[in-house]
Amino acid sequence: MTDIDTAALKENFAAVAAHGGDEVALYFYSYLFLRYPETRDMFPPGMTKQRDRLVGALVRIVTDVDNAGQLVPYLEDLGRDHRKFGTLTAHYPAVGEALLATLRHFSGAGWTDKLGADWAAAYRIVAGAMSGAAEKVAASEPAFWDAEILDVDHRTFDIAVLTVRTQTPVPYLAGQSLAVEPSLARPREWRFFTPANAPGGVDIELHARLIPGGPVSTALVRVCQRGDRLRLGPPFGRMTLQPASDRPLLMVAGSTGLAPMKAMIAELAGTGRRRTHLFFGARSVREAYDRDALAALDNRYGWLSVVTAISDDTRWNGPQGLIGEVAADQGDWSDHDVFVCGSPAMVEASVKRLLADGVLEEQIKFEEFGEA
Amino acid sequence: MTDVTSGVPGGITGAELTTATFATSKGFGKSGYEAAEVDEFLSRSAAAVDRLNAQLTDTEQALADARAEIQQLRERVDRDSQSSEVEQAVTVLTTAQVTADNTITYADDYSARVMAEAQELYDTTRRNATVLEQETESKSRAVYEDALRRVAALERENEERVAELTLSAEIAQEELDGQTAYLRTLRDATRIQMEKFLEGMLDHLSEQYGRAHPIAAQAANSAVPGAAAAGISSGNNARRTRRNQRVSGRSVTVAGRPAVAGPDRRRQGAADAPTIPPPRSPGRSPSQVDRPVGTSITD
Repeated sequence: MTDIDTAALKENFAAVAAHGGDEVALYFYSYLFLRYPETRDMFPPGMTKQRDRLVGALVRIVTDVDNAGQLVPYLEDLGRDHRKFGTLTAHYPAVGEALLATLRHFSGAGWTDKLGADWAAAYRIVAGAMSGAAEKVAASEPAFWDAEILDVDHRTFDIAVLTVRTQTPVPYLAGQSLAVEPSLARPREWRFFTPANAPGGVDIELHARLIPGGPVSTALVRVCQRGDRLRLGPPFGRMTLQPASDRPLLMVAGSTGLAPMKAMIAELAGTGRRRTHLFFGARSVREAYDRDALAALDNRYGWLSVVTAISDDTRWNGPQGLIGEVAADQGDWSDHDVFVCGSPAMVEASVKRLLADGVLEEQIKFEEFGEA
Repeated sequence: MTDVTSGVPGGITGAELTTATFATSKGFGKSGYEAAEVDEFLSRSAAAVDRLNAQLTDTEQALADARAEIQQLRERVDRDSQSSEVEQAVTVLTTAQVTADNTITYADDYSARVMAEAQELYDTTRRNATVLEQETESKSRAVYEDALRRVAALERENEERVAELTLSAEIAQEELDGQTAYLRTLRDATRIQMEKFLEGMLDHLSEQYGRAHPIAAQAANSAVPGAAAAGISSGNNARRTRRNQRVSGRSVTVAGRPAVAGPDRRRQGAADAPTIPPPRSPGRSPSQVDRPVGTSITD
């Protein structure tokens, strides 16, 4: 971006954003849908979250505009991810036009031809990175996979384990997540869920916990039934096993954060077996929703040991307390590869404690539940 | 400049101005250009400058007009994307989207509220259930332990009773055995004494009266062999046995008496009787004489 005055773009963007991110995004989408009505179908009926997402992405792009090393991988991921919405290379100029019209609209007298030309050039680079990455995988990978629900197993009133079947295997790595769209219940709403089994087959086990008001989690746990259709997006996430490492493993999971751990254990059983400690935490005994499966794994694999801790249920005879604390108290993990997955609070507390105990930052990989 | 004026009819060019030549005056004492030619050239030049000035003004006006038009057109092009119609349409769409968003947000909020309440209810119920479960568990454990304690106490009591009963049964048996032994000893001793007494009596009788009545003495002698069959240890002769047989019915009565007389008699008897009682077995040396006695006691 040598010829582009990025400082001027940042300044202009700040001035535009001062009108209120939601206002700006509202104008953008209205302009886009007015000029290019065919794009409306890619978006959900309710656009509130979508506007937040757009603003978030724009802020991130503008913030990192001088940092191509950070920005380009993000844009490539974003471009690949957009394929599942039905985004084609041809849609990018339309979005660019809407973006420029929006910026000009909110800039008022501050708008100059130079600013317009710089924004257009910057957008071409962004769109190029996104659509380039999308085109690169288009030949080898579908934009999405249609799936059918085979079973919804309600373990508690707000936790369900779903088995879904695709026509062809989804090429995820154990530990990665897939965006899931309940095609009928909440069209065009996509949220990430993690397969709990090893890749390679057409059946995928998904663990869903209902988040109050979360459209997709509510649909998966309370609405969807056997036979309903889902769409699955391409795999994402960097919490995966490193085949090169032969360090023993520590896995710390809170609630449905168990799913990636189960997938990785299944993967380890098939490939290299590494000494693995799995710590699973839940609030109550009932919410330890996968105890039978964990007990079976614990029995079957000599290299695996499973500890379940309950934080808020006096009936439990095993370890009591927050799972991160329980795990940290039970050993010196400084020579382990560590995976942490759970609620944002659980992940933050667990990672903090493990770092304090001497586990190096680069040995810890973690994922948080998103809003779903 | 040259080009500008070249097209002007009757005009004058720069080249003409620089290369203009005039005829020399031919009058006596005069030298210079022909005045008429110069005048004519100047007037043509003046006219050309006037026309050029006028044309310049027109051109400048046309240029300004064109510029204004371009500006107008450009502004219209810009406005096209921000024209009032577009602005209106964007506003309408925005309003519609906001309305839809509000409706959906309301529905999602409602769902969130309901689910949050359900979650809270679930948690409360779970905690209550836990408390109840624990109470029930501790109560049932108390009942169970109490029952266990009672069962243990009853068992202990029963064992004690059984032990007691066993003990008293043993005592009773021992007592019975002792009495039986005593009675047997007494019987045997009495029998011997009686035999001795009767033998003495018979001897006495045979001595005193046998000589007077030989038949009686003969009868006394023939009665003795029966006593040997009764298992009497002392040496007997045929005569004594016969006599003994005759008095055996009385002997039963004598032997039976102490049997109902109680322990006092036993102790007393123990002193009188042989110290080692005969074996208790009912099968011992059966005899017609003592069978009814032995049977009645051991049964």
